[in-house]
Amino acid sequence: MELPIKLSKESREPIYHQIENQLKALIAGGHLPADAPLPSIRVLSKDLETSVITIRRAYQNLEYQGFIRTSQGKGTFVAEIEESLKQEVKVSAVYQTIEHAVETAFSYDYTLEQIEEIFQEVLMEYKKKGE
Amino acid sequence: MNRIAEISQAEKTIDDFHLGPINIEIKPGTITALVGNNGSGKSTLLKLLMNLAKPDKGNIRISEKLVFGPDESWKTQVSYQPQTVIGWNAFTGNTLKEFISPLYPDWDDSLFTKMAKLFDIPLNKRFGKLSQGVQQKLNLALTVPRNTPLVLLDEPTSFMDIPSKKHFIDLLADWMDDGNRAIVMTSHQSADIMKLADYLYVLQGGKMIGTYEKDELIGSYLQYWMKGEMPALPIPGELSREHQRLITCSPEAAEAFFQENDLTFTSAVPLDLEEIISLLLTERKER
Amino acid sequence: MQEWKQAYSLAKLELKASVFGFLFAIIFMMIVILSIVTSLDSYLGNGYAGFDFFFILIFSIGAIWTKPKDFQIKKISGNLSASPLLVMQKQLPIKQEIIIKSRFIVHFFYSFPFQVLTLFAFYLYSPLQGILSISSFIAFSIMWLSFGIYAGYMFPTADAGDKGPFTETTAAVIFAFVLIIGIFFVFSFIHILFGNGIVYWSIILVQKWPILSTVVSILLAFAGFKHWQYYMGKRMNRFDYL
Repeated sequence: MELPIKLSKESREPIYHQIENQLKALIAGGHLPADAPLPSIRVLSKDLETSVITIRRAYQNLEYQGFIRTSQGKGTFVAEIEESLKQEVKVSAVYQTIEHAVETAFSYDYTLEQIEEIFQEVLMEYKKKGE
Repeated sequence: MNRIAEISQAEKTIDDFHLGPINIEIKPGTITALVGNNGSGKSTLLKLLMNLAKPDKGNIRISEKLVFGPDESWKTQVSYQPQTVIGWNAFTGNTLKEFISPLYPDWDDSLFTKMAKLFDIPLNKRFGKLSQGVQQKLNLALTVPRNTPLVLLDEPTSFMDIPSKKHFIDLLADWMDDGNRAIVMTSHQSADIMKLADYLYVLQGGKMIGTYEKDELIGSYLQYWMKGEMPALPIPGELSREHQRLITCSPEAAEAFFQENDLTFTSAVPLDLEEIISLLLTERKER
Repeated sequence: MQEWKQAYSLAKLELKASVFGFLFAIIFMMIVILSIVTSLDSYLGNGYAGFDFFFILIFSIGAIWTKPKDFQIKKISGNLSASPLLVMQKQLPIKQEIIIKSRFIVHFFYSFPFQVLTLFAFYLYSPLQGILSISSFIAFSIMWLSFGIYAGYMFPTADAGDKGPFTETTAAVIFAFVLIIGIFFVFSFIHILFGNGIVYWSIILVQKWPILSTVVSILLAFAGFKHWQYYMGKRMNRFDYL
């Protein structure tokens, strides 16, 4: 089973962290329902072209935070998670994406005012589309 | 953690080539890629592990048994796929299977059948009559199903077509799921290394340069596109500079240096493994 | 005994694939045997050195030179030439002891049947029957079959590898050619020196001391058989199969 995980080479975020966050998003967004099987560490490391060490680290973190569970000899599965945790993930994902956009703007020497202006423009576009 | 194989302080001189001192430890659940230029001693290293050549110095152990000792029981713990097979030409795939499979207690016949089908190998044709690519496939179909804790592969995919390569990599990943197995392989195919390797063991001209965890290695190199003037002095860990681009093997120190000296960069991008390997191997040559 | 059984099943791999080679060997050896059986008369009469040469050929290398190409000793790497099957088996979980014994079994199939055939042919179709009594003929047979062991089993040890000075095939062929001519000269020299050849003297030996020559031959065969196995093991441990 292939997961829709896309690692960004350009990102400075560590690979295991990217994997962790994207899996969280897939789980919180309902793409991976509870009890859905996850690929083995070796297979995911092949698909994502990382080492097993990286995948193991991501899986361990996810298990620690209660997103996934491993049953000996059977494999790794999505855990039953609370709605509040799902919301938390969603909110933080949105926050992160916006933060990332702001960082990009900063790297092009935009001022806070200019960034705000762009943000408003984008929102306006969506409002129009929605109407 | 227990280990499957270990080489310590091994050295070997063959004519005017000197290999070693080599130190390496192979743990279950890992795939190690031997990386180096042609003639850097990768195949020789595998042959030392197989006791096909004896080290002048040092120890080589598989399953804690010295491979050149009188106890040959370690041989059931390791399968070896040589780059060129010797002695198979007169036999068909079926004959070879009948001969090889009873030698390994954990032989997986269904895996063999699966591989033969997957690779479309004619099993009733003599090995010598097969094309190089098919020979390589048969060789692998007679190696992986031995299900030994340690597998040594010498250029497993060099003659394979693209779909077969993909199938083979998928198959090896599944095979490794057991968790108690380990692979040591040489390969010049970067896809093999990217998709399979956890560790890179880098050799140059017989000398060991080091063992690196793949993602850590990739993370430790960074290229910067600088804004404005280039720094006059070499930056920490600088490996190369051309136009606005700087490559360093210690990004943290480099960025601290940038801050101190009021230097800015427009972007910082990791290198691909191929570039890193090339840097690792050329960097040393110049020293 | 268990080891020999295992070695035999190992040897079968090569033997089964060599059936055509054997047919070729039988035809060729028939011709050789026929030619020497018919020349015994002239050998005993006026000393024909070629007789010794062919006789000793049968009782040393037998028919190994008729082996199919895939099983002949070939260059493995650098200047090491070895039996491809031995190299293949060395990479598998097969005890070195067993590999060595299997090489000896293969040699047995390429030599013993032809040697027995030669002796039978001699007894039935040559003047030897008139010269030797049954018991002396048995002593003669044991003497030469023993020779086939203590001299013959030197040849399978070459399967373990040889670091010959000649890596080129042509050079090796020239070397072999010179060697054969050399041996021919030695035989001729013996002829000139002692008036008669080696086979002639062996006939005299078994006539005069049948028991002694039998005992000595058997002892030599035992010692030789053990020695060559040990020697081959030592070579396998020394060489690098790179």
